[in-house]
This record gives sequence, structure tokens and C-alpha cells, in this order.
Amino acid sequence: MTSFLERARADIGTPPIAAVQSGARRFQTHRLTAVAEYEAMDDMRDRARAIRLHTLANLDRYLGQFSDAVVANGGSVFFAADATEANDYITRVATDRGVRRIVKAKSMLTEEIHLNDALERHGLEVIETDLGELIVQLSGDKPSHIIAPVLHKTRFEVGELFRDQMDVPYTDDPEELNAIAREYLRHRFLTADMGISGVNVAVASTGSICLVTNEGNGRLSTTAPRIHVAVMGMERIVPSVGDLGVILEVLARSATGQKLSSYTNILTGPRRPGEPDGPDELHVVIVDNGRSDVLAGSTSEILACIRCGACLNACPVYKVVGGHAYGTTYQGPVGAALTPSLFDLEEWADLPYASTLCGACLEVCPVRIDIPRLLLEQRRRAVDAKVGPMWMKRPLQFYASIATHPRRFRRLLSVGNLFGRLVRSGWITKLPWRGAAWTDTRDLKAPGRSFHARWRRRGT
Amino acid sequence: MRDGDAVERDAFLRRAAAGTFAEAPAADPGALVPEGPPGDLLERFCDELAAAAGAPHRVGTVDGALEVVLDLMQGHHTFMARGNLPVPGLAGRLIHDGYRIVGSDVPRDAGERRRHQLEYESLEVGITAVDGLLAESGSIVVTSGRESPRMASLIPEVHIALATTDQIYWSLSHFFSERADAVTQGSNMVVITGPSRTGDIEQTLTLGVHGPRQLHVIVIG
Amino acid sequence: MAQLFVTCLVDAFAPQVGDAVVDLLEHLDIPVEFPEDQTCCGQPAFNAGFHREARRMAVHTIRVLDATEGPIVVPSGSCADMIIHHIPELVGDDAPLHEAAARVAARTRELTTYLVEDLGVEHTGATGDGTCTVHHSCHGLRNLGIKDQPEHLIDAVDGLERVELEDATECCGFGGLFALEMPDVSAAMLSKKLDAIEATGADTVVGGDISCLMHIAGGLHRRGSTVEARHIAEILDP
Repeated sequence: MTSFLERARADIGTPPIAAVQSGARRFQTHRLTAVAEYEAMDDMRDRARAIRLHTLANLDRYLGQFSDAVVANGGSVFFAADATEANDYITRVATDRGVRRIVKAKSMLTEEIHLNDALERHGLEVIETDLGELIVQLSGDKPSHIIAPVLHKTRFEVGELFRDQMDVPYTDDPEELNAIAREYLRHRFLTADMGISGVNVAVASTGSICLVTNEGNGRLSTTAPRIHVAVMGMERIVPSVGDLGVILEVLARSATGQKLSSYTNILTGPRRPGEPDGPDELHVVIVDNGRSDVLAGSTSEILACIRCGACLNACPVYKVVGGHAYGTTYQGPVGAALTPSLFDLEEWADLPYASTLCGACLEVCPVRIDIPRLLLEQRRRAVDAKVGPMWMKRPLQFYASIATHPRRFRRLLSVGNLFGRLVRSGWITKLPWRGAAWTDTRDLKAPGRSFHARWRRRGT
Repeated sequence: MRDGDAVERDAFLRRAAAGTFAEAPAADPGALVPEGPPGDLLERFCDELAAAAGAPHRVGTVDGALEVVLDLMQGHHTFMARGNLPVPGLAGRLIHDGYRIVGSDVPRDAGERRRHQLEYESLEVGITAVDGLLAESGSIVVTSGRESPRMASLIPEVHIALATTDQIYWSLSHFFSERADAVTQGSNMVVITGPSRTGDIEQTLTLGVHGPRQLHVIVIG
Repeated sequence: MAQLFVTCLVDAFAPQVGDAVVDLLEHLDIPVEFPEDQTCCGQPAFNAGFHREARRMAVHTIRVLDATEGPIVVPSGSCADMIIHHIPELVGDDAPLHEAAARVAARTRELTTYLVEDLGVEHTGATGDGTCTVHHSCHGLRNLGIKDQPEHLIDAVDGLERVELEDATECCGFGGLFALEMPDVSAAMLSKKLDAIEATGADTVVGGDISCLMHIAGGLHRRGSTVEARHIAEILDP
């Protein structure tokens, strides 16, 4: 298992990361414009936070209410404790109903639970329909941003990919590439037996699910096929339609700077009697897969996240390493705060350390999640479990024993001064052991006579 | 099929009760509905729709709307429309003028469904009514219903939406607060803001990915 | 009268900053005391997740500072942030200590906040020359709202011109032990910051945190740049 640093090293300074960075900056700029134009933004964020926390504090009640409402609307609900249960259920529905072809709208949760693999193992054809996800699927790659999966790819790469995988003439013109994708997918949409989507926000009181997209693939995947399976993280819910409105006011503005995305789609049950089109079956699969552990623990606030991606765009670390460095479905600040609680702490203990705690994420989060505080808490958990950067323990213990004894501290300062005087130029250019991590790329001003010593000289 | 099997549901919900949040309000905080600005909301709607790459059309009368539709149909051959439009007899008039109407009733049988929907590959124009116009974002609200197929605003390259001036609201939050009924009156309510789009390839905006490439909104009155 | 909490990095690596703070305050008729038993607030250990070690240093800091009176002036946004926001929570399990920590937190002020908000200073009487650009250290910026204060004070320095730094509020990549734990990432972030600094044409980059400045200065020196990195106290010292 590689570390964050190893993965980051492979990507830092490469052209795909430059592309990710410019994409993230563009989102940042658009967000700033949208927020500047929207006077109510601060109040909306406060309200959005209050709604999410209230919901999480009463999650059992709202999930129960939601489930009852979905069933009353003619849909089905399956409660999946983990990835296996979710995948098994969906596969069973598919095989029982004679499904062969499946179209998918973008859903990070389905990536988290590796749904595509499970379906394909059963001989089902799964087609990603979000353009970015389609490109990821055809190229066997992984997404590099949670809402813009192929920020890291150039149009030339996409042109070659389409030529090779779709048997079309090469072009790198985005309009033409777009038209190729539209053509390729249209027939597949219209002949698919099942459509699978995620859920951006569910509404408990009405049993509705809301999907937010720009391309229209979310609508087509959930309208054309006769069966719609919506895969939902258990935390992605609000009590009422009024609450949904608040979330929608801050979601697109935070993500891309749009007031609303092209399609804000609210689905309440399968097709009703008398309605001309839409799926005849709706299955909502509510997934836990570690979320209830997060809920019960000290980092539960991260479950308020509405997956806008603004924290990625603001993060100075994300912008130099890109999404792949995180090595997992959820990237950037939210990923670093969530993953060590959602999955194995030891495996992911380095993610929370991939941050300077600068606070840019908190500054933009539409639900004001205190991500820096959560990262500090994850670090504490890691150290307590002895899976953090334990090499620091002895040096920090040593330092603590010095820093709690003023005379020892002053003596350490004079030792520093002595060593500093040996450095003729006044600059240290090479340090041993861990210190090399500093001097590999930076010089260090040599210490001189400490302030403590100079103060004594003042005779004050 | 398991429909919220009781044992699994109870165990799941028990685990969902594990969260405590000192800061969380005891009651559902509910909506926040900011006031809209004074002035002509319809003008704002048209500006925002245009900014979102849609095409607004203001007409005084139903006849005016009909003329715009006939104009937009030039160069196309097929359309989808049902009876709930604010321009009565529109579908009949188009058929009379030689345009082919594409049936919108999707059969329940799997094989027939597929055959029927493959027809949609030749559908060029979809004409729908709306349930609301949102001035702040230039959006239209379309709900599904007996006379309102989802596909009409989804599959064709061109979507023509017919609205009346009394359907204007300031924002989505406004619409939700005044028309909560609309959200669940059909199985689908979609808020459409401009044509379909993506920036996935090098952040270059292209329109008409899987949804319509053109969105025309004709506001009558 | 003000108490100076000089911070361990200034103490060891940039004592002239401490001198500048003392001179500056005395020039404003504020006598300065230096509680000699002070050492380190514990931030590096705390940020790295080593709460036990951090707590030991925090407790020592509380005891030293609580035995004094008057405002506690700190020439560092991140250390001030530690004392104000984190230390009270770190000793939250011990009521008397927590109360002492709260008292200390209430008296603690980052330097420019103290000058502008507490003393109402508009200009310190300092003069300068050339051009400078300001890097806004993250903890002070986002946790203590420090941005305008340093800029206004610098603008009032006669003879010194200030130019805007592009992406001034973007992190320089120091992040405490992050600089050692994630060195390539830290270096990549530093490189962006240095490029922006050099692009301003300024001869000095000014900041409020010696931690960021050591990192920036170290990078500038390695590049062979002539741009100097100075703490704002040095700029404001008349």
C-alpha cells in the first residue's frame, strides 16, 4: 500500500496536475463571483449547517420517515449495512428482472462500494454516462476531483481514447468530442434495462430524492430504463422540501458558481398511474458501509458534507498534488477528514497529515464544517492508536521535557547558538536524518544568541 | 424482493441513532426565503435565461406564441407535445402543417418499451408547459404528469417551453414555499436552467450533452 | 504595560524580532515585561496529534503567563491562535487549569491586533524605503481575522511602498511539522509562493509569523534571490 507522499511525489509538477490546478482555480473564481452576488449566502450557509446537524442528530427518525414515504409512493427501500449487501441486492434485482444493460449516472458512493465490479462479475453491462466518468471508465483510470472526474485529462487524450474505444475518427475539438459521446450514449440510454444513480439529497417527509447534474445523463438514466436504482449514503438526507431548498441554494454556488445546475431533478416514487413515461420500478438502496461508525465517533460532523467540492478547489495541498494522491474515493480536505473514520485508521492515517491546517476549506464550506478541527482530531486518533508519524514521539517528548523546565530551555537555546556560530555563512544548507526533509529544498537561518540571552544582556 | 425487511431496517435505524451534536437545533430549522428585488421579475428572468445560454421570447398573446413555435419548428420534422399547453390546439396545428408527432406513451412491457423509446432517436423538438419560472436563475420548473411526459424536455435537441407571466417566482426557495404541492404532484419535478452542458473536457463549456442543446422559453402575457 | 510572549521560533531563530517588538512598544510608551520562564506554547506537538506532549508545554505556558498581568503580546498569529483557541480545550479536563487558560486566552493578542485594535495606533513612526509585499499567514488570517491591520500599519510607514502579492492568502506550505512530514508537497507550495513574491518585484516580503518567514526565507536564499523576508515588527520598529 503506497503512502500519500509516495503517490503525491509521482504527480507533483506533472501536466495533469497543472490541469487540475487550473480547473480548481476556475471553480474557485466562479464560486467567489456567485457568492459575491448572493447576499443571502452567509445566512444560507448557517441555515444549511443547522439543517444538516439537526438531521444527523435525528437520523434514525428521518430515515424511517423517508423509507415509509418511498414505499407509500410505490418504491422499494433496501437498507444495506455494507458494500456487499448493497451490491448483492442490486445484482439480485438486476438478475431477477432480466436486466442486461445498465446505464449509470455519476455516483461516488457506487465507486466507494465498487458496484460496477460486482455487476460486471455477474455478466451485466455497465455504462457510465457522466461524460467525465465515461472517459474514466473507458480509459481504466480513476477520477481526480469529486465533481469533475477528468480535470487531469487533455482533449488530445480524450480524442485518442474515443478513437480507440468507440471506433470514430480522431478529433480533439471539445464540441465534436461531446457530439460523439452524445451519439454513443443515446442508443445505450434508450435500450438500457436499468438506470443507477446516486442521491444528492433525499427528503424525508415526501420520500423524494434529488439529483443535481448538468449534462442530462442523470435525467436520462432515471427516465428511460424501466428500473431505477438510487444508491444513497445514509447521511444524505434532510427533513423537508424547505430544507432541500436551502441546500440547493448553496450547493451549485459552492461547487461551480452556478446559481443552479442545469438539471435539479426531484424524483418521488416510480412512474405514477397515468403518467406517460418514467421508470416502472424505483429501488432506493440506503448504504451504511462505515457511516454509522463515523456518526458515533468524534469526527461525525464530516457527515454534514453535501459533496460540493469547494474544499478541494480551495485547498493549496490538493492543488499541488491533485486527486489521485489521496488514493481513495473521497479526496481533498473532506476525504482526509472522512476516510480514516469511514475506513481503516491505520491504512489512511497519513491523509489527515496532508494539510497545513490553513483553514481555506472551512472558509468555503457551504455547511461550515470545521475541517481543520476534524483533521486535528484524526491526527490525535492516529497518534493514540500509534499509527501516526510516531518517529516524532521521542523528539517531541524530549522537547516537552526541555520546554517545561525553563533553565533547560535556556541551555538548549545557548547550545543552538554555539552550533549556529559554526555555520560561517549564517545559513545551514544540510541537515541530517529527518532534517534533510527541510534542507533538500530550503536553507535554514542559523540560530544566534537567543532572545532570552539578549534580554538578560539588556539588564532589564 | 425485500421491501424494508423489518429486522434489517430496525438494526440499521438503531445504528443511525448514534449521533449526538451539541450544536444541533432541536427542531427542523426549515426554509430560508430571501426577499426578491423590486422591479420587473420577468425581465430579470429573461436576462438570466439568456446568460444561461437559453433563449427567452416574450409575446403578448397565445397567437404570438404560436407564431414563435412555428418559426422555431422550421428545419425540423418531428415533435413531442401533449394537451396541457397554454396554446390550445398546438399539436393539431403542427400535424396539420406536416410535422410528425412522436408518441409519448411508453408501454410497460420491456420489449415494447425498448421499441417505443428507440423512436425517440428521431425526436427533434419537445414542447412542454411549465409549472413555474424562476427569475433569479432564469430557470423553468417542469413537473411530470398525465399530459406531461418527462422525455419532451429531455431527449430532443430543442426544447420549447410555454409559460404565462403569472407563473413567475423570484427563486427556487420562493417556489418551494408557495408551491410545495408541485414538488410531489407528479413522480418527477425538474428545475431546468438552460440547455444541457458539460465542462468535463478541459473545462471547455459545451452545450447539449445528453439533454437539449437549445432551450426556448416563450412567456405569454 | 504588556507581557511579551516571544515564541520559541523567534527566541531561537529570529531574536531581532523580539527586540523590535520591545523597541516598538516602548516607543509607544508601553513598558514591556518578559516572563523569563516562558518556553513554547506546544503548538507543534498539538498540530502533530501528540496531545500529551503538547499539554505539558501548554500547562507550563499557562502557569507562566497566568502569574503576570496585562495584555500578552505575541508576534505570531499561529501561536496567538494556539493560546486563544486550543490551549483552553487542551486542559479542559482540569477546571482550575481551564480557568487559568481562559484568563490567559482573554489577555492574549497578536502583535498587529494589539497595535491597531487595542492601542488605536495608525502609524508607528517607522520609516523605510523600497517596496515590500505582504504574505498573510493562515492561522492569523483565518482564525484571528488578521489581514487589514498589518496592511494599514505598513501603508503608514513613510518611504515604504507596498505592492499586492498574487494569491496572498494562499498557504506558503510551512504547516509546522508538515514541512518535514510532507516535504515534496511543502516544497511545491513554497515554490508557488516564491514565484508570486518574485513576480511582484518587491525587495522585501513581510509577514506576521516567523514560521512562514523562515520557510520563505530559506527558499528565497536557496534560489539565490535577493528578496529579504522580514517580520512586520522589524518593519514597524521606528
